[in-house]
Order: sequence, then C-alpha cells, then structure tokens
Amino acid sequence: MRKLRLIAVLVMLLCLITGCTASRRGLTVAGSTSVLLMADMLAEAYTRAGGSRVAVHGVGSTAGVQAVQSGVADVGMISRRLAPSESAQGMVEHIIAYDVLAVVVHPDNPLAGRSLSVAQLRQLYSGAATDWAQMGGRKGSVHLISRESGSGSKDAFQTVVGKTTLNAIVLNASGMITIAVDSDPNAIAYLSLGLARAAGLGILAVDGRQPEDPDYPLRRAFSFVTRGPATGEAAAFIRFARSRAGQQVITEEGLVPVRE
Amino acid sequence: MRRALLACALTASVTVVAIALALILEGWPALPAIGGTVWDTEAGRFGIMAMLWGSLAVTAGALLLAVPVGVGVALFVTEVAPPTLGGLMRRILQWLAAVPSVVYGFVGLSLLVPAIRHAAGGFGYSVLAGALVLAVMALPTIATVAEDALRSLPPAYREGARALGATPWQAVRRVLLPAARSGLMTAVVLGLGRALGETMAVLMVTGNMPAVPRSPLDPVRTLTGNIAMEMAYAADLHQAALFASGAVLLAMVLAVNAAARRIQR
Repeated sequence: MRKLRLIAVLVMLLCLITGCTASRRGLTVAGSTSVLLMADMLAEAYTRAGGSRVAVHGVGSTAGVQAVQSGVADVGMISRRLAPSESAQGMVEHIIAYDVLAVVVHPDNPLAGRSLSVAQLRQLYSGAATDWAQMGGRKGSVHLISRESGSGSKDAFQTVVGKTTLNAIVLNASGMITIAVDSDPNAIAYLSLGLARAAGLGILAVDGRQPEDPDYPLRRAFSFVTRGPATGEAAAFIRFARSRAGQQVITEEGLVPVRE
Repeated sequence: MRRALLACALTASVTVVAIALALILEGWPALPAIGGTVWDTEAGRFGIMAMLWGSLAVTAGALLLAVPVGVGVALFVTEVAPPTLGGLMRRILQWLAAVPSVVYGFVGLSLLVPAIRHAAGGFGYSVLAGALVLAVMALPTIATVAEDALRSLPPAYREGARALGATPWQAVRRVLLPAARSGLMTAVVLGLGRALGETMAVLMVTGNMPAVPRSPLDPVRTLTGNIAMEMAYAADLHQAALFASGAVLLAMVLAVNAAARRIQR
C-alpha cells in the first residue's frame, strides 16, 4: 500500500516535469479556479467516454484567457464574461453552466423564502445592519458567515454585494457552512444553490428574483474560451460539456445546466 | 550500520533547519507588514497580531482546563485507583490520543459550538470552543507525562509522608507534587506545544474572525488556521506574510521546547 502511494507520487512528479510535452497529444485547459472542479469532472467523464486526455490547470480567469491567446492552452476557463478587449482579440466564449450562489438562513428564520434587496444584503455584509429586526425579521443579532478570502464564492458574492466586514465568521468549506446555518436561527451565509437545496436550508430571494430566475443577481456563467471558433479536439470537448452526459456531470456538481 | 544511523539523524536535523530557513527567507519581505492587528488581504493589510493573540488565548484556555484535569487523572491513576482501574484509565487516555484531530473538530463543530451558543449566546464559534477541543486533545499528553513523573518518584517519599502521619491529601500536596515538579512542567509544556500547533480542529470551531478576542465567547482566528485557510490562494506579500507567521509559530514552539529542556535539567 505504502509502496503504491510512493509510486503514485513519483508518477505525479514525472507528470509535473514532463507535463508540457505530454499534454501536447491531449487537450490543455487552463483558467479560473472556480471552474476547475467542474472542468476536472468533465475531463474525467470525457476521457472515460473515449475522448483524449485533458489536463486541467487552475490559474485564474485572466491568466487562462492569456494562455489561450498565446497558444499555451487550447481551452480557457472563465468564471466571468469575456471583457470587450478580449472579444476584440478574437476570443470566443462558450457558456457551459451557471453557478448560482444562494443566500441561506435557518429554515425557521421568518425571512426564509422571502426577498432581500442587494442593498439590504450590502447593509448586512458591510456590518451596517446587525439585527434581524432591521431587515423586517425577528429581533436577534445577525450571525454573518462568510468564506475565506480568495475563494471563488466570496469573490462572486463581493462582486455583487460589496466588501464583507471583517467581523464575520469565516468557514472554509461548504459542508461547514451548512452545519453552521442549520444549527443557528440567527445565521446568514451564501453557498452554491445545489448544496443549499440538498441541506434543506432556508433560501432567500434577492431583489425579488428566485435563484432559478435568469436575472437573479448572484448568478455567474462558467464558460470555456477558445481563440476563434472552437475546432478539432477543443470543439469535441466543448460539445461533450454541453451534451446530455456533460450537463449531467454539471448538475451533480451543484451547478445549473445551460440546457434544460 | 553506523553510517545508516548517522544518515537518519542528519535527515531529521537537516529537515528542521531547512524548514526554519525556508520560512525565514520566504517570510522576510513581509516582516515590516506583520506588526499590525488588521488582517485584510483584500486591502493589503497583513498584521498577524490579532491571530497571535488568538493562538495564545486558545492555547492558554486549553491549558487552564487540561492541566488540572490531567494532573488529577495522573494522581488518581498512581495514588488512588486499584491497578486494574488505573490500567483501564490509561488505556482510555491512549484511545483519546489516537482520535484524529479532524474528528475532534467535527464533533466540536456539530455539538460543542451549538451548545455554547445555546448556553451563553453569541456565535458559539469562540475561544472557549477552541480551548475545550484543544483541552481534550492535550489531555492524554499531559496526563501520561504527569503520570510517568509521579510514578518515577522513590516509594520512600510516600512511605515517609505516611509514617509522619500525613493524610493522603497532605502527602500529595506537600511531598509528591513538589517532588515531581520538573516532570509536571514537562507535561504542561508538551501539552502547550500540542495545543499551539493544532490546526484542523481549531479551524472548525473558533469561527476564524481575524480580531483580537475580548471575551472567551468571541470568535478568533489562530495563526495555524490562517495559514491552512489562505495558503492555497496566497501570492506575493500575502504568501510572505503566511510564511512569516509560520516562522513566528516555529519560534514559539522552539522557545517552549527550550524552556522545557531547561526545566528538566
């Protein structure tokens, strides 16, 4: 067993060293770390379904686009839309899935199922409002729960809601967040919609929009990027990602598929 | 044979020195930045003092709880309990020591934190929660080392005290504990090292708010928890600050060990 593990580590090291040459024969995908997990799962399913090998690297959205631009990667991953300047350089985005952040509270919170505006969320998460009564809820101090800085979820949340106060509980995994919210009637947190549903937490609408709605504010597209229209192996991988099998993988990851 | 053993010894010592050097070199650029109490990576503030206080508060709390209980267990096993019961207690302590830290964290997160929230209000994620979890984790170390210290005392001490008409309590307080003092200090110091370095379990129950705690019910972030949470995302000065906090931690643990050695002598 230990010997096996040693061999595995050696193989991994070899792959790291020779990575550039080995991936020449397969497909190299690089970009957003938020998309990384989804892309990894897609790559695995794609290879299992008879596709070529896919190497996936998390380097951030912008670095991913640059990697495709310079030809280092075949496909980029972004958790934002393409900037106009990037489109002007001939980059093309292919939306694969939507990541929806649900704002969650304890199921017994009287606000569960009701709506808060983005401005109200900003009041809560900037620390300006500290009691649920200020939100029209039952009196009680708000227990803010946030993610660690650097996490894709926190980035996405802050992009819409603004900077989070430092006086928030920080938990670095979705599983810990569901336990925390499920046991605390005063808690509020955000996490991927699929996980929030699975845990049976109270879900808030935002600006009157339900998380399923296309114009729900805390929704971002996960896309693949190619230089010019996708061709060859890259096109096959993107086609797979959008196929029924690919979208099944995406649903299992707790993301919202692009095809219903 | 001799060479092989020498190689083993060298590996161990070279590793420690290399780690210390790496931490210092990587952390050096952040040295001017880590003095403050504000840790806000998005605003480029990398003060580690709030987390240093966090680590110290949680560790001190853990020792406050675990040392009396641990020494009490050791006294019970050596002075009071019949041998079979003592043996059983010792076995149970070994089981406690064998539980992985993430399990302690999980139990703390799902039972202890809500219990504190119910009983005392506040977040539940707190210095107290961290101290309690760490106390349970440090207890086996403290109890076993304290037990060894008491057991290694010459039987003449106990017999002499008895012969002079001391009650069992007087014998413990006036003779046995003072005589075993250096061993007991070692127990405390080893427990302290265990508590200071623990990461996963603490991360799950302290709430990780980077603020100086004002009460045992306040959430805190420890140095170890901070490194574990943010290393994956860190670059440049942020990364250097994490290395620097690692160096600070290492220095603290080494200082504690040096103190222990001095006391043992």
